[in-house]
Amino acid sequence: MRGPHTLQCEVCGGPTQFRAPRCGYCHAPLTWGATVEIVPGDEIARADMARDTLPGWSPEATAAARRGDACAVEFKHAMVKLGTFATPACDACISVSGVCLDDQGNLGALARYVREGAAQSYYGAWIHPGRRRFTLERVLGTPQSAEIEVLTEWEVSGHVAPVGALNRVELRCADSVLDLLVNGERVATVVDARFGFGHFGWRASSVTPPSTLLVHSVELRHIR
Amino acid sequence: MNEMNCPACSASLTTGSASCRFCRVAVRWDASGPTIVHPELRAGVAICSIDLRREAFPGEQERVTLETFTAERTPHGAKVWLSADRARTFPVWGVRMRDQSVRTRWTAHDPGVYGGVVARREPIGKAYTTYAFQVRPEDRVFRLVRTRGGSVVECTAIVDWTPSSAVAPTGHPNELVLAARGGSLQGWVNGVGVTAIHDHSFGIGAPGLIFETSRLPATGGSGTFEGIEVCMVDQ
Repeated sequence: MRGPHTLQCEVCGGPTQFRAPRCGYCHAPLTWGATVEIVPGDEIARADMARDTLPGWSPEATAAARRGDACAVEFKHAMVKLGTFATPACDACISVSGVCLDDQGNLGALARYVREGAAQSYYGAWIHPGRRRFTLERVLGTPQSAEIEVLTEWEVSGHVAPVGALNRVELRCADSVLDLLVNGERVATVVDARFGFGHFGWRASSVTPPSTLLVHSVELRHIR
Repeated sequence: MNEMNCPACSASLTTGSASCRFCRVAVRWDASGPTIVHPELRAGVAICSIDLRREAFPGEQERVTLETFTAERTPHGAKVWLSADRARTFPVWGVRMRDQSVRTRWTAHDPGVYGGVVARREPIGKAYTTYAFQVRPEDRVFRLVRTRGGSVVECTAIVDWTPSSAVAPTGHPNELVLAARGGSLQGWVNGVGVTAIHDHSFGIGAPGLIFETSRLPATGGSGTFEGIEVCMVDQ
């Protein structure tokens, strides 16, 4: 098995920060490009809705919502539903595959999700097939308010498949570099060091309920 | 392939690996298994130094008088008073950085008050994320916490109140340094390294000061900060 190399000192193997001039452990000089290429590596966890439980849901709830090889997420009220894998990490790739059955649904991936007491924070990506657009944001929320800062404004992209077609939204995180890919194409790269560690998972919402989405799979991988 | 658990996040760790693939902590292997290796953090180039005996804190007036908070500049520094069960942070907003060393020297005048330095304080809308390294001189204890939130703040102890003889009692000055580099957070009290911990929750933000009151009668409590010095962490 190969260790992570995207943000690893080539001399001592210690973890490095993006754009750090030297390794913090062996002081070897480091050189960086404009960004780092984040390549998915070994699988950490995978939820295939044909057989597995949707992360964050109980087996019973998943079974009740199962439709063939997908899990239906239905909205009768305006809200965000989300779920994460149990294993937290700094650097990982999360990909969510699903279908929005109407033009009101948003499907997304979230990264570095932490809930402490009533507060929660995470990076989140949305795709909105109804308008074939995507966005990337960071969220710090409490029951009283959800503070959202947009990292990439809503932007229309032909890579977002339309309503009724399968979409795969993928968020790759390595140190402060975040890559958003839609159906395998990189649509946004952001450097943001705010949140460094947490859980990875899926999320869904509806612009105007009622709305239904089908989640087919959620996959979490290391970076190489 | 042998696997053990990461001493920081408890995820499985492949024997001989230089770092955890989940929390990115650097590890060293010996007969007993993996142990965390912290980088040596030294204060480097000074970014800002504010002598509160001679100047007001950035963004604050020389004298503030409110019902729950007062502050005034004295020959000994900025004297702060808070009513009971309050907290006030004084971030240096112009200095936003990832790796930072924050140093202050302050004196508690009343039992029950605690204070120190903050690092990586970053706003999101009306909410904030913060690391805070504090001492409570009355009990001669220190702690390192991270907080999230706005109108409601969730405080999580990374290192809960820990007794240390390095902490000077009420009425005597305490010099605190919090240095952060990547996920490594290291704290010194009066020149003694008291904590080194790995926490990757927050990666960037402003340094500053923090003063809190608890377990106090309605009269509140006060302390005097002599200054704040922010440095880059030496590479």
